[in-house]
Amino acid sequence: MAAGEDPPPPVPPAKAARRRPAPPPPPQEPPQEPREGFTAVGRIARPHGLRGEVRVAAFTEGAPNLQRGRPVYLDGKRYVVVRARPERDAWILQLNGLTDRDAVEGFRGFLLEAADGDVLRADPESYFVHELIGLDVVTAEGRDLGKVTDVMQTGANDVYVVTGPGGEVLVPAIESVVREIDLLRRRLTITPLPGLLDEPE
Amino acid sequence: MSRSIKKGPFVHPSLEKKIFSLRNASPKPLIKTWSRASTILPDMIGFTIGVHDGRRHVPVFITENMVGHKLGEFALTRTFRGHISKSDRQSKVRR
Repeated sequence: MAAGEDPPPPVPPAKAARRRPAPPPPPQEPPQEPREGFTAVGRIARPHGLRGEVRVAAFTEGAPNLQRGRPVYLDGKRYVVVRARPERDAWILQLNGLTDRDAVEGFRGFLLEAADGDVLRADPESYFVHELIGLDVVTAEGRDLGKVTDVMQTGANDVYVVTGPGGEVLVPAIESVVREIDLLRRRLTITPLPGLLDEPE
Repeated sequence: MSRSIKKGPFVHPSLEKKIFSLRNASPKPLIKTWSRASTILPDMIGFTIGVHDGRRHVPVFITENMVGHKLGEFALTRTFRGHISKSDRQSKVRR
């Protein structure tokens, strides 16, 4: 460099070096349906507290499959419910091996599953809704009304939504109407009340 | 403020008339009504009332513990489409 010349301007650091680190990949989308051979028994809403408890929305009243000692599967791994207590409209569960909040933070929205053979009924006379969906509905006289496509839980009696060639019929799940539920033959026999099968007014 | 005792609970006159005329019928027919605001009275116990939800009549079997509530409480007007195809959700035939 000749005497009297200005020093060269400082070189800016490379652009790549100034960049912020890449954001973490988006969280894994929780599965919306249970795996083959399993039944969904609840969905994790969010972590609860710092000790690895989770707040779970149960799918059935009383949550018989989320009680202490019940085996559940979360993201394909087997856990046992160590502690369960109701809180407002949900359940707070502690699963074995998950003892801090960080361990459960990634499970928001995940399903809790139970193996089909382990699923308990709340009442021996109750049916799982997925067993009822698709049953053929016939009257005691043999008239075919269609298939059960949905079960509405109204707060009073349940109502079976039957869709068939004659349109949609709402059948109340009460003893005087539902005569027989035959899961082996996939048939539901009813004695309709007068006015139940009338044309809409 | 609750409804005045002098007025008594509201029941739509046509529904009240049907209940009164069919109280001894056997089997009791389905009574369709659009009156969701009608109060459930002890006279209605044992009837199945089709309560309109805006689209169709939802059959509601009236039992003792529903007395004092309104019919509309038992026929939801919103459709929930979030159920999982295979869950432990259960249904029972009411005795």
